[in-house]
Amino acid sequence: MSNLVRAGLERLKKDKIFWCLIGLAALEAAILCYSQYQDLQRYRLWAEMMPENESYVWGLQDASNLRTLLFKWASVIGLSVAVLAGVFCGTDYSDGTIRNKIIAGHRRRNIYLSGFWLCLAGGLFFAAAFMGTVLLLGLPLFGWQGETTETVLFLLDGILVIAAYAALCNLISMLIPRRTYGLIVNLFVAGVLMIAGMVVLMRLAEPEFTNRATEIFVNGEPVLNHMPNPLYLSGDARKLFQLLLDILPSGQGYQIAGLSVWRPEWLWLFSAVFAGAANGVGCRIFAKKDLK
Amino acid sequence: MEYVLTTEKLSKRYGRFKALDECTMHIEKGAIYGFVGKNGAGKTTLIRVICGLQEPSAGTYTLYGRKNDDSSLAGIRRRIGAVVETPAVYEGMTAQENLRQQYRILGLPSFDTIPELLSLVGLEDTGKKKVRHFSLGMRQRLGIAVALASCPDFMILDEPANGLDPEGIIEIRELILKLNRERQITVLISSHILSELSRLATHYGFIDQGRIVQEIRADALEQACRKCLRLRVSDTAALARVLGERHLEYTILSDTEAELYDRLEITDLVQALARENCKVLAMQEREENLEGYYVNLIGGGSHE
Repeated sequence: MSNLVRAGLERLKKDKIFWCLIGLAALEAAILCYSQYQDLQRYRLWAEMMPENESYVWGLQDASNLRTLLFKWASVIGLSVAVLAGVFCGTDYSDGTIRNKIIAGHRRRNIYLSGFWLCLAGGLFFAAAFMGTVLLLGLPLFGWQGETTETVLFLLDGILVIAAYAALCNLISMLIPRRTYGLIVNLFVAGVLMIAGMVVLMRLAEPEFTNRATEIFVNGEPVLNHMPNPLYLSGDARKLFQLLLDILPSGQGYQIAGLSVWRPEWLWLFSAVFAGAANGVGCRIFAKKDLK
Repeated sequence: MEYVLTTEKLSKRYGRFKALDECTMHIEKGAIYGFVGKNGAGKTTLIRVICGLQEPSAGTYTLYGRKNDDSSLAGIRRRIGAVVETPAVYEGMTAQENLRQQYRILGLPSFDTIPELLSLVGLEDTGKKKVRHFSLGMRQRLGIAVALASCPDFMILDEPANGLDPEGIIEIRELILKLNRERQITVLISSHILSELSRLATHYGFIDQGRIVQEIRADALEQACRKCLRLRVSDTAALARVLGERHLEYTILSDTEAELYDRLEITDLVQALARENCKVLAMQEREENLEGYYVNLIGGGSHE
């Protein structure tokens, strides 16, 4: 398998789509750094003018924290891996070069898993490009705050999230022989996962109580009624949604991007199990697949 | 006799359709085996199964003495090079990059032999030209170069002359003959162009509806196809006596038909037969080529 992975990495180096995605990751990081720096300037000014306003103080704290930017890639990494898998792995099918690997005597399992490792490597490069840009531009602007150990743990979580996406996208690409269809399905699945993850996150983020304005006015201001939020999830429903958020790669990505991982030890397990299951299923199906 | 490849009742089904139906064939070491059959006969299916791209539904094949269910077969596959249907090359890479990629896949430590390989297939001057800008002939040749990267001793070529112009066909033919002569590479070549195959093959396998109808050596085929005079007479026993007296080579086909392979005076023969009270009812000169042999063997159907 090492020969296959090495050959794949050499091909990846020459792939224009790969370098475009790297460039986009770096560009996105640069734009976010700039945007956050603008926010930092704004909040500094407001906090100086109105130090009693707590929201400005919190805003200033957030805007000056480099770590809030560092893992933003995790919320969109699924799309990048989907594009890479669809185009890169799909090329082996469309150009027929997958036949060369089998005729050369490589086992089907190794051919399949080399695709996974390459998708994982691609995802890691994207993350590295993003984080590298953030550190390069952000350290001089914001400095470094927060726990390094916690950051490293988030990074490890992030790597496993990439592995989960890589396994899923490789599965789709290796089982769909047409590159275009593989790419479309990959993007569709990544998109659905992102939307599903967002919906789950938003439901979990609903507060237990909300303030509703009544028709009673005091000093020209409406009286607020503190009442239970009907959208708030509780009990088993909350547990189910939390479980979903932990299982879905997109949900894991959002947690890491927001620096609020609820159950970090479970996140590793779910990512590893997800990647393992996808690879296991994919290997089995690919082993029996008739190739043309 | 040493066989590189044998198949024993090899079958392949796609749902209810039987693409290969108990196909049994034998490819001798050092042969150029011409695999002949009409569209849909099962040629490409057989090649895909042998190359490991698909599993057989039933039956077995043996490659260099290893059966298809032998776990060590994967290692033996390094001795095969194949071009299955279309050349398997990366469109976005140059010829040299494609070969480098294949060398990496094979785990070959050095790229030193790539220029020689490109020269062998006539692609030494392609430089930075990407494969997507290659002609069909160039792609075919690159496909063969990729297949040769592992220094195989068995090459499988699935219709390598498809879509080529006459010059391209000649180039491929010369290359195959060179590989067979100089490197002792056994070749399995499937083709529709029977005239080309007749210039190349040392053995033939005719396939129809997934079955091998006949396997025959080229010299035996030549013998079967050679020029002859087919006679229809009233008494083949008398004919046999007359021909025997003149030491002429002949074959009695039936009570009334015979084939004569040597040249003779027709008048003399007719007069000699008349003396034996044997009438000559019909006389026809025949010479069969590979196409005619194939059509007679498989049946009128579609002509290649």
